[in-house]
Amino acid sequence: MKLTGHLHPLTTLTAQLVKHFQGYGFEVVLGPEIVTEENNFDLLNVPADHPARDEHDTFYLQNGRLLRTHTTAMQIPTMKDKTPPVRLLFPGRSFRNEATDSMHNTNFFQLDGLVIGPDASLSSLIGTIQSMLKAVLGNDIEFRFRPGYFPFTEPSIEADIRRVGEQRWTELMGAGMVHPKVIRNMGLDPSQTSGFAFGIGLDRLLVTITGIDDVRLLLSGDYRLIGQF
Amino acid sequence: MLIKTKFLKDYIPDLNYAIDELAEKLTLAGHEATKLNQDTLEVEIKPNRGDCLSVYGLARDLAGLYSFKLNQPSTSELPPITKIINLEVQPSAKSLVLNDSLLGIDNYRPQASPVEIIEKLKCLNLQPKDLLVDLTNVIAYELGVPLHAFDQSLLPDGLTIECLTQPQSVTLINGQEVGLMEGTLIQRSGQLVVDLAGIMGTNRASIKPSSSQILIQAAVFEPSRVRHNSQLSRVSSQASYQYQRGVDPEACNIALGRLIYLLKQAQPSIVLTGYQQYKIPRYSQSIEFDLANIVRLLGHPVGTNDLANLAKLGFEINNNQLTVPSWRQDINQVADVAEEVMRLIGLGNIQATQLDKADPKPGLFEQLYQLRLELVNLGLTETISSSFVANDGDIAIKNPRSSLDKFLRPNLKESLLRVLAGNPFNKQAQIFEIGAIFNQTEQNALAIILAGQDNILEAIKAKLAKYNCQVSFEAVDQSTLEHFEVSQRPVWFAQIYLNQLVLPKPKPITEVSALPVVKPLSKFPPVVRDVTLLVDRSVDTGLLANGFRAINDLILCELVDSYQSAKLGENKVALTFRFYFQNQKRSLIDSEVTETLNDYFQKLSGQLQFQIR
Repeated sequence: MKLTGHLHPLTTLTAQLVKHFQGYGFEVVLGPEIVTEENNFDLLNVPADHPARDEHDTFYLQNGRLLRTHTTAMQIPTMKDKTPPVRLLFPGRSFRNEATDSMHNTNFFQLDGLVIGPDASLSSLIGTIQSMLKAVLGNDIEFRFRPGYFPFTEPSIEADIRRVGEQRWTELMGAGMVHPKVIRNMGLDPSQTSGFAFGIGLDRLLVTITGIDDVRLLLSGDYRLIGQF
Repeated sequence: MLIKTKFLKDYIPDLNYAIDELAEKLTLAGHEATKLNQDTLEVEIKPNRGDCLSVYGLARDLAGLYSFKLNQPSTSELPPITKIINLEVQPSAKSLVLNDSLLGIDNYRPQASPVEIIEKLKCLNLQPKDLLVDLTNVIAYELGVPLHAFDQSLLPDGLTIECLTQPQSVTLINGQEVGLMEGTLIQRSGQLVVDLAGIMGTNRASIKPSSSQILIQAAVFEPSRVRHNSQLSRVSSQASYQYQRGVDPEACNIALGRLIYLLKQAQPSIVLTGYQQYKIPRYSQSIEFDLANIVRLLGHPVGTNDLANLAKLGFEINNNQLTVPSWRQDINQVADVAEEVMRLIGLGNIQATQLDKADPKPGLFEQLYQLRLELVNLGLTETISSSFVANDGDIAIKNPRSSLDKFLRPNLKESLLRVLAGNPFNKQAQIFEIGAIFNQTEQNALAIILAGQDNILEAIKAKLAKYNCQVSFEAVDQSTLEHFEVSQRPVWFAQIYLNQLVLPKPKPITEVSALPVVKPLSKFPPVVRDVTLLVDRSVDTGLLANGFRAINDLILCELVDSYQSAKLGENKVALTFRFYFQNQKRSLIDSEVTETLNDYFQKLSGQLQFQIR
């Protein structure tokens, strides 16, 4: 038998996004899943005594480290070796210690983007999000941007989408201008340097594109699913 | 937070939005709102917006952003300042108590609450208890200031606020027994702990049906200290939720005035015995800002009018100095001000712009994508599995979610064996995964598992040899296969670290497949059938396979073999297709699948010969 091979749809989706951002000179950085508390929280302006920590249910390891709760944890260590302007993408697995259901899994996949440079503004962030989502969802979508809250960005925004003609908005991603404290933790001067960052859950985006009804299936290896891609 | 539109109208009489429009306006203001019914919304308040965790606070933000007149809450005057109790704040607590305002009430008689109070309690999911207790809860909901009611006769030694110097056990007013650790911020009367500060009172001085002499406390504690208290005691409450997100220290008097107003309506005979206050001086946050910085962050023109509009949200502007209102503890720097300007302008009004195009910078991701494509072209299917395993890892999870998540996987073997076990209907399988494995260090690896046939084994070896890597496959032993309930036989496995591969120079990604809408999977097992068709070589196999999509209960169909031989006839080819059937409501039986296929191919029998296996 000569079996047909298939790429996992998360790989295909990530590749679609990377291909889109290649045209804007983004560089992809792959990093470790085990990170320090400093890189995942403290240096991203998520102090231990702030309720924002509660929103990241974290898996801690016996060795004192933790499993990254977001690929944003790559920002600070990556920027140690970079000089602006930079355009970076951080795709990869992240972890949340929360109950699983059809929309949540303990292992999930994210794509974070980081742009540091004179062209980074809320206006170019909105344009970047729109063009990214159109590249994978098509042109027949409408956007709604609303104020959000993430400790590592300020101002922060959230992006919702819907297909033209639909009533309901689907919450898809968060983004914002890199918080001055985070810029400072990158060794840069926030009064002179701007940056924007965005993060999108790839599992959820894949659900929106393909209609998969349970994100847990993505890690099941069920051939009936993967064989359809 | 549940909120009724009529509660908001108490403060914004001109609020004329229909409920759907109100939900949209709140959402666009940063307070995501969902309509529950024709007069109730569920509003999600972000962790940095403690000022909006109340009806009045939310109304204030809404009125400011959408230019409505805002009414102040109805309150009564506070009684004159009098020493009603001996209040002491120990040095260990001095910086942790931002305001402690006390109101003395005498001649209180317990009674049931009126309907309008009960209606608000319902939004808090609370049952009515006693008028005074209910009022403290409702005022925290209305104005965002938690209140605590003590029976003053049970505080003979006054109130002392301090951080505990030695552990102590207490029973809280909800009956929960808690061991308090050293360092916990508490209030005591004499040696008796009467309150776990910022969280909940104890049963030592709580009001009872016989209480008539009452002390109402409107205190504000330092937010991070309340969080610390909550973590130390492992107790949380609605009050601690509000404190952690920031309560306005300047609102205590309004809350006490509101309590007097509502209490007197229900019980005019109460006597106010006095009011006293411990308070650290008000600190006004003042920010020096530069308009150019705000424009740089937003990438959008900002006029003086946009800045002047900040006054609607309670800010005072004097040249380049912005004074922040006491309730906005989230505003500390220019970027925070930029967000307020952004909210006033409206995100929908900010013009989107695009980054300039630039040359691709391919790297490791693109190299691995190329490797993945080459493996797929050999007939391998990619899987991605959980990083967790139940047994035998070097790195243990301190707080696993279940017994299956106790360790980080030390290799990819267990992951791939589980994938095989989950696909028993595939007698032949060729699977790979690229992912992190965890031993003494975290490393990335490529693993391949082959089941049922090994006809591409040499091709894989040859492919990886191009990457300068000699890969060797092991036959997985019987006991391991049985342990993981793998039904396929035989099974080969190989794993290599990615750093053993010499990857080719990275190239930009040029082509990526589209992602189709999928057919949903059934919880019932599939039935798999191979069908060999004898057709003319000129037949378009793609078109042929496309036609199969119409077959009932078919989820997947793939060409798995193509065979040509003189024995088959001139210009003939034998094509073997693998069909995967499933039904959403029941298990299919073999005979009905055979019948479905027979029916379908009978219709095509004039054009094709076929054989079902």
